[in-house]
Amino acid sequence: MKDSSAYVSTEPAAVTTNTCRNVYGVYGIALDSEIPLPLPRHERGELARIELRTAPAPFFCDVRGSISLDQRVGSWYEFGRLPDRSSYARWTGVGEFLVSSDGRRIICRQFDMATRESFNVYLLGQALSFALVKSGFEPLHATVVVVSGEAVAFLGESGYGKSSLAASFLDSGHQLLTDDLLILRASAGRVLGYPGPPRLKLFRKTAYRFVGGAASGVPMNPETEKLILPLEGHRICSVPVPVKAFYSLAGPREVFRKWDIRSEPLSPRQAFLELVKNTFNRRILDADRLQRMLDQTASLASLVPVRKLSFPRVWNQLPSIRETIISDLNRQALQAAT
Amino acid sequence: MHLSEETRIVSSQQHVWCNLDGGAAILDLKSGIYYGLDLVGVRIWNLVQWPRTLSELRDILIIEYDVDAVRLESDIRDLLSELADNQLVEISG
Repeated sequence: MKDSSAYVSTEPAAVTTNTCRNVYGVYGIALDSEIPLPLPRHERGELARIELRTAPAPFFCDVRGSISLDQRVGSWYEFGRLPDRSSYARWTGVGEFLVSSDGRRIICRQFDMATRESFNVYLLGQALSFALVKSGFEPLHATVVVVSGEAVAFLGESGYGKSSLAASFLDSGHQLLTDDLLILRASAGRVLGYPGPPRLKLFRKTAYRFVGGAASGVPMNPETEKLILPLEGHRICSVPVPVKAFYSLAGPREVFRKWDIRSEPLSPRQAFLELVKNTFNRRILDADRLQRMLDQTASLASLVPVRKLSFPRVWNQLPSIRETIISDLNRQALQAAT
Repeated sequence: MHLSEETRIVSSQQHVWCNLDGGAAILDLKSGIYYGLDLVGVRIWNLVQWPRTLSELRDILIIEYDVDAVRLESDIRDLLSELADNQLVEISG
C-alpha cells in the first residue's frame, strides 16, 4: 500500500500542470483553474485563492486504494479521508475529487459519461465546499435572490421549494445571487453574501413557467428531473451584497393546500437551529470545525433576522408568496428607519 | 445519582459549545445532539469547564443568586444529573 500523503504533500507526477489556466471569481474566491468554467473572470478582491487541477484515473485509483471509503447504503456518493487530512469524494457517474488538507487545492477528474454541466455543479458545490470549509469558511445551503440591493436567502432541504421561489423572484425582475451554496462574511455589524455560479437548478415545469423555457437546461443527474439552467447576465448579481433576511421554508408535508401563507419571526435560539441545519458539508466533523461552525452560526443568528415561511405548494401562489416576503422586507426597513 | 460534597464535576471533552441569546448551545460530538442551557445553566456550565466539587459550586452560586440554599443545591444536583445522563459532564469521587 502506498503512502497516501505523498499525493497531496508533494506535486504528484500524475497531476497535469496545464499552462493554459484561467482565474475565475466565484463565492468571493479566486479559482485558478486549468479547466474552463462557466464563471466570470476574477476581477474583485478575493477572500481566498484555490487551485483546481486535473489528474487521470490511475492517480485516483491509487488514492482510493490507500483509504477506506465511507458510502451509505443506496448512496451514489463516496467519501474518504487520507492520513494527511486531505479529503476524497466521488459521485457515481459524475467525477471524483481530492481536496488538500489546507483547502487550497482541488484535484479532479470528470467521468466520461458525465456532462460538463453536471460535473461543474458538483465541482462548484459539494467538492468546493470541502475546500471552503478547510479554508475557514462556513457555507450555508441556500438559494439567494437580491431585492433592492440586498440578499434574501431561502433555507430548506432539497424539494422544499427554494429554487422555485427564486425563479418566481427572477420572473419579476429580481436577480439571483447564488443557488445552493452561500458564502458569508461578517464585517462592521453587517453580513455580506457572495455571488455563486450564474445558474439555477430547476424542475422542467418551473423552468418553462418562470425563466423562459428549459431549452438551454441540461439534466443534473439521472436521479432527478432537475435541469441546470445557465442564467443571462441581467438575471444575476455579480457583486457581494448585504444579507437582509433568511427565510427557512417549511417542508411540503408541514403545510396543507388550503392553508394561508405565513411568515413568522424566529427567536434567536430557533434561528440558530435553522441555520445550523442548513450548514454545508456534514463530512468535515473535527472539533475545531464544529466549534467554528457553532460560533459563526450564533453570530449570524444575532446579526440577521430569520423567519419561518409556510406556504401551500400551489403553483399560482408563488407570486403571493413573493409579495409576502417583499412586504416583510419593507416592514423591516421601516422599523430600522424609525 | 449520588453526589457527595466532595464529588468532582468537570465538563466532558466530547462537545463544542457557544453562547447563544443569553444561554448556550452545546453540541455533543459523539451523538450529534444539540442541547440548550438557560442563563443559570450557562453559569454552572462555565464553572465546570474546570473540575469543581459540588460544595464549591454551591458556595459560588449562593453569593451570586438570591436563592434559598436548599433550593439551590437541589437545582444544581438536578442539572448535574441531567448533564451526566447525557455524558456532557464527568463525575468522579
